[in-house]
Order: sequence, then C-alpha cells, then structure tokens
Amino acid sequence: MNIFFKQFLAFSFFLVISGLYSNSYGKGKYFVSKQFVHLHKNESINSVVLLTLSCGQQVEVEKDNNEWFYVSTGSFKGFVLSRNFSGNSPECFSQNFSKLYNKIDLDMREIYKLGRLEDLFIYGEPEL
Amino acid sequence: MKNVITTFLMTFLFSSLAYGEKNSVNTIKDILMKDHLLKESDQKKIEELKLAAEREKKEKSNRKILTDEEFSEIATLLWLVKRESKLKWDFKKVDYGVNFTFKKLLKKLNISGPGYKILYLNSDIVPHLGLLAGRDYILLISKTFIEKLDLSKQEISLILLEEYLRLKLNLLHQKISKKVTKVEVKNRNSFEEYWGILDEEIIKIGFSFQEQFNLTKETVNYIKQDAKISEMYQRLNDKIKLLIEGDSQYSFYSKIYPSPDLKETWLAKLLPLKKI
Repeated sequence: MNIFFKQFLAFSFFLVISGLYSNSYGKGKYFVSKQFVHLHKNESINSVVLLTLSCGQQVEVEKDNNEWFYVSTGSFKGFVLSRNFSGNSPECFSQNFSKLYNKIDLDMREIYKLGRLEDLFIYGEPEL
Repeated sequence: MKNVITTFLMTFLFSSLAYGEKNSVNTIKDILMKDHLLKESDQKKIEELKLAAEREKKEKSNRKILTDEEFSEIATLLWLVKRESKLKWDFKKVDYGVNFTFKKLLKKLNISGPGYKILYLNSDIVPHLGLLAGRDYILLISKTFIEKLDLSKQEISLILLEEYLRLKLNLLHQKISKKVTKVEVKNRNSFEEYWGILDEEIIKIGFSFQEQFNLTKETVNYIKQDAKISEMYQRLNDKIKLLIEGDSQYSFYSKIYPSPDLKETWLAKLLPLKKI
C-alpha cells in the first residue's frame, strides 16, 4: 500500500512538473525577446530565411517541439528557435531608446546579421 | 434627427466626464479636510507640488537612462555585426559537442556565474576571447585555431574556461570602461567610440603580463585539485607554444596573450605536479 502511495505521489509530482513545463512553452501568443530573429522555412538555422522578426513583435505559436516554434505572423508561417521568445512583453532596446536606436541607423544587412547571430550562438549556463 | 441625438449623446458624455474628474478631486480634498491635513492656505502649495510631480514623471518617461549594462549588450552585439568581415562568424554552424563538455567542466570545478553564448569564428584574427554583453558572456573561439592545434573537446573547454574566468575577473571590460568617455546620455558617437576601443584592445593591444598571470593563477586555483585537468592544461599550453613557434601566421598571439613561454614557467611553479 505504501509503495502504491509513493508511486502515486511520484506520478502526481511528474504531472505537476510536466504541467508547469507545458505552461512555460506551448501554443499561444509570444513575444520576440531578442533584437532580431529569423523566421526559417524549416527546422534548421541553415534553411531559407522567410522573414526577420524584431524585438517585441508578437507571434502566434502553432506548434512547439521545445527547440523550435512553428509560428505565424501576418501572412508568414515558419520556424523560429523557441529560446528567442518570451511569454511577456520584453524590454527592447529599440523601443525603450527609440531615438538612439534610430541614430544607429542599421541597414538591412546588419539587421539580417543580428538575426543570424542569434541563430549561431550556442547557449549555455553553469549548472551550479 | 440623427444630428440631434449625436449632439445630445456627446454633450452627455463630456459633461459626465468633466463631472467625474471634478468630483474625484473634490473627494480627495474632502478626505484631506476631514483628516485636518489640508488648510485652505496650503491648498495652493499642494497643487503646485502636484503639478511639479506630474511634470517630472513626464520628463522621466521621455528620457529613460541607458544603463552601462544595456549599452554594453547592444554595443557588443553590434560590434560583432560590424566586424563580421574580419571575424567571419557567419558560416555553417560547427558543433564539436563542446557545450556539454564545457558545462560538465564548470560543474566539476564548482564554477558558477552568468550564462554564456559560444560563437565560432572562421578566422584567426581572434583565436579566443570572452566579451561582456549585458549580463551574458560571449565566448569567441576560432575554428581554424582549433583545427590547427587539433584540440579535443576537453581542451577547447579549457580555453573557454580561461575566457569565462577572464570575464569574471573583468580584465577586458575594466580597461574599456576606463577609456570610454563618460557622457550623461549615450549617443551615436558612444557606439563608434566603444567599437574603436574594442578593436584596439582586442586586436592591437591585448593583455599585459600581469593580467595574463592573474588569469593563469585564477584558472590554476580552480583546476589544481584535479591532476588530470591540470596535466591537460599544461599540455594545451605546450601545444599553443609549438604552434606559435612554428607558424608565423600566429606570431601576433604572444602579443595579445603573453606568453606561452612565460606561462610555462608560471605553471611549473603554480602546478608542481607536472613530471618533467
């Protein structure tokens, strides 16, 4: 009986954790949290770039496979790395300091490269 | 008839809005009177203060101050973009599976700190370097450097570890912040100046003997408990020394990170485990 109870507790714990996880990432509306990110045709950073999304832009996530989101924005649909999104409206340099941002005067190539950088970074964190 | 109804509705709407606003001010005033906080003579002063507070609030929202952290984040990213033709980071992503090994190494050595982003370069101009971008660390490492030295995942992780610790010691950005002109409000020139200083410090000046010694000492402090890692660290230095001696293309290396020869001497003292 005790074992069954323990198993039940473990299962409930698993359900709660998986529930929390699915709340953090899942279908719904999300905001771009990096300066610029690329919307790709396929689930690969080397696939065709359909569009470059800018910080604060809202997208509708249709599918989520942890690493990649399948999103729609306007008439475009494609894949973006899920780490580039947040559930809440982010603090964006381009919005908070719009005057200074406009003075930097980024051209199309630089905007593309900023998105490319986000694709190429390998993210990590010390686990302590 | 339509016009009459619209006019009536508009009048009703505006009068009720005006009444609501006036009413709320009167309510506040009544409460203050009741609490004996407001004398008739003070009323003017309070209204003046209210106006001043409102004015300040407006001014603040118009002039958000860019913090050094926010500035370094965007300025560093833009430096990478502006110098892409030299750094050559835009190439098909390589994955040596280093991230997993590096994470394991940090855990093993009990190192905590900010998150990091690894970026491979397809040029030799910067063999390896840690950059501060806001709260995050950007760890640059040259693919050609890795290939020329035929480095293992563990050896690449040791180089990344040094760069991570260099950032923790604030060796590069301390120098940069001393050179940056202090201005109340950052402007386009602040970015140009920051990029220029990064170019100079990273590509031309590099690090002093003292800075490199401090970094070696710090790294040794973490790795000395582990004989295997310590040995690998010494072997890595030997490999780099051989490359610099044999390949004229890397003659600049000793200028930027002085110097594998000296480091060998430091390591012999700091890590006496090595059997020569």
